[in-house]
Amino acid sequence: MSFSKVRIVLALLCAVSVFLFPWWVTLITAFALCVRYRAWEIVPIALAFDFMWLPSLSLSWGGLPLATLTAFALLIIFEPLRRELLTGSALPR
Amino acid sequence: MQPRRPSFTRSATRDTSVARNFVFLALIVAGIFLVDHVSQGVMRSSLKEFGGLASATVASVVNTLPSAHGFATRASIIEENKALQDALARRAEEDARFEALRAENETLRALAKVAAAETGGVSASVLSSFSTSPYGTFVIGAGARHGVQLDATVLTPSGFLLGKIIAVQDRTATVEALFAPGKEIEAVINDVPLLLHGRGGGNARGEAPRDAALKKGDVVTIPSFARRPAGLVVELNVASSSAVTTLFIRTPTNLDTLRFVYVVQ
Repeated sequence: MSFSKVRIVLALLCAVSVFLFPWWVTLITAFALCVRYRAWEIVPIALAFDFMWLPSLSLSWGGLPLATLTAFALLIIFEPLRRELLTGSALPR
Repeated sequence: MQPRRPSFTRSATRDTSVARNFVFLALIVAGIFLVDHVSQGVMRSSLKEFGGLASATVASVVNTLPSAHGFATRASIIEENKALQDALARRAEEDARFEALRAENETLRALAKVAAAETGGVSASVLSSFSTSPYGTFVIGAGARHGVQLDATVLTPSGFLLGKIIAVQDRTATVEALFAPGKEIEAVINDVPLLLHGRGGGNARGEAPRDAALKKGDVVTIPSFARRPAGLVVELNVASSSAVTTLFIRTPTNLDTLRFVYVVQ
């Protein structure tokens, strides 16, 4: 697992945006991380987002931890795409 | 020298490893949610406290920046613009509040009851932007030590319903907006009951019978919150083939410039 400067900066920005910036900043930085890296760190960041802003955890639409689910979805979707199409298989994971 | 494994087996091994890591991570996340639920939100409240303090710290730093040399002129214009927008929004809100009070007064006169005045409340600063959370929640700078309680009602300075307290920490509290995305709430407009669906940002949508006597500017009240006003009807749409009128409701307060709220105990 590589931690380049870009990845560290994006991850820090994603984490800080949970508390200080609009939600779409968090989403864009998580998206950028997943495009380039197998960024498992977006899962704890998304978990912090849901703990911070989710009113209450429930099975109804308004109670689903959307940030955590979105983080897992981004990891699943971009795993094959990142490997084969976006960055090539030769680049470090 | 051992023969090199074919690439497809190395790929399969890597895929299995990734899938195993993924499942492991999902189980950890589920466990964390379970622990938080069992502990009745201990982890959640700690994070909310930290987040609220972080927002307050950043807000205080940002507020001191305009006074620095080089930013003063532009900052003063920006500040004046913001103040004028705020004043305009407050004036519109006061007009709406006047209409709401007039309607309430007429109702109370007809019922020969006396309206109770608001007693016991706390003013609190808004620490986070309304656009930070997609769930319609925001953080205020008043908590348990200021007397804020769970399920307390939160009002705008002009008395319009904004939401209720859903989590209380020592110095901060989390508010869920009345018109949070996906939230449903029963409302009354000119004695017409209807169900409103929150759209976030102080907006909501509802449907009323086509022949209901409703118009733009009508005040929306919420029975479950002592019939306090929550918004105004800003638009009505009725299709010629439809039996219902779609109403678009909006809180008259400019949420982007709202700095203080009032928590009613």
